[in-house]
Amino acid sequence: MLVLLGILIVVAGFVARINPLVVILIAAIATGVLAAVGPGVDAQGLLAAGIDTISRFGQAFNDNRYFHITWLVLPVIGLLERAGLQERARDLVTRVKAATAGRLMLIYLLVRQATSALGLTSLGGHPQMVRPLIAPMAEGAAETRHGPLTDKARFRIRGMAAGTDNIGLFFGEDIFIAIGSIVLIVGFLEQAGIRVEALHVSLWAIPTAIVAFMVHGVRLLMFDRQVKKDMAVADVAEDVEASQ
Amino acid sequence: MITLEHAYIATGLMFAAFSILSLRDPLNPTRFRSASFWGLIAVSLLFGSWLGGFGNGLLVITLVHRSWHRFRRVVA
Repeated sequence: MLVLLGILIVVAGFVARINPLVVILIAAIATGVLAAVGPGVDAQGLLAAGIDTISRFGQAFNDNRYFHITWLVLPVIGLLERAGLQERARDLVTRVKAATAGRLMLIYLLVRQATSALGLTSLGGHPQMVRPLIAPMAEGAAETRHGPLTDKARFRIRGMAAGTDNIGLFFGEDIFIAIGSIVLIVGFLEQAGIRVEALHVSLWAIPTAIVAFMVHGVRLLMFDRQVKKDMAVADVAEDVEASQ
Repeated sequence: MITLEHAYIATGLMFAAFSILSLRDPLNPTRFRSASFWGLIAVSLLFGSWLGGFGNGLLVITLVHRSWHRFRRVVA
């Protein structure tokens, strides 16, 4: 029963908005120590349990180091940005008169969804596509139309660019049959006693994808009006980035 | 042959560079904290296989401690 206190620590920590890393670590160690509590266990036994928990924690951390390999892409993007990738992307788009932030993202949504449907899910993404290319292009398009952007408009555009990538990927990849999410859906339904063909799942992802494209497409077409509204909101006096 | 261990070494060297560069950045108000954070991640990637469970556990606790302060600063 005592081990359940770990869950209580997690809940209390999150409610108090303490750094989740700290909360989880404390909850894990507390659970490990509390699990050892019982008749005839002295302080030394509890200490051994604590050390054992920390060791297992470290082992798990070490076994999952492959997560860090993703960060190898950072220097590449940094190098490209140092060479002016964002500026070039911005310049390129300011020369197209018909370009607006909304229309540009609509084209990106189409491309992202179509390539994801062919299984090319790594073609887009936040670190390699949105931040270095799509967001600066959309900002550039908005700047030619409205002049220097306010913070609210700029962050709204960046957020929408990232969200558009998510929607394109999420509602595109299921059309491709050889993808993890299809396996997950088929596996989950099978556990519940429902047998479906993987091909059917991917086939019926098509209407969903079309509806998703239409819904988000309409949002994007109305997006330029939203940007215009955000341009009326003056910046807060203190710059957020400078105060960090 | 290139194994996962080689990728760890490359990534570890990158984080080690982050650590040294933050240490030498006079404009960073939390340079020592940043340098030790990235440095610990570099240690984990470069030497994690030799640290053993408890060593890695202590490393995680220190990382959490470092990031706690980093996080608090950003929120405040």
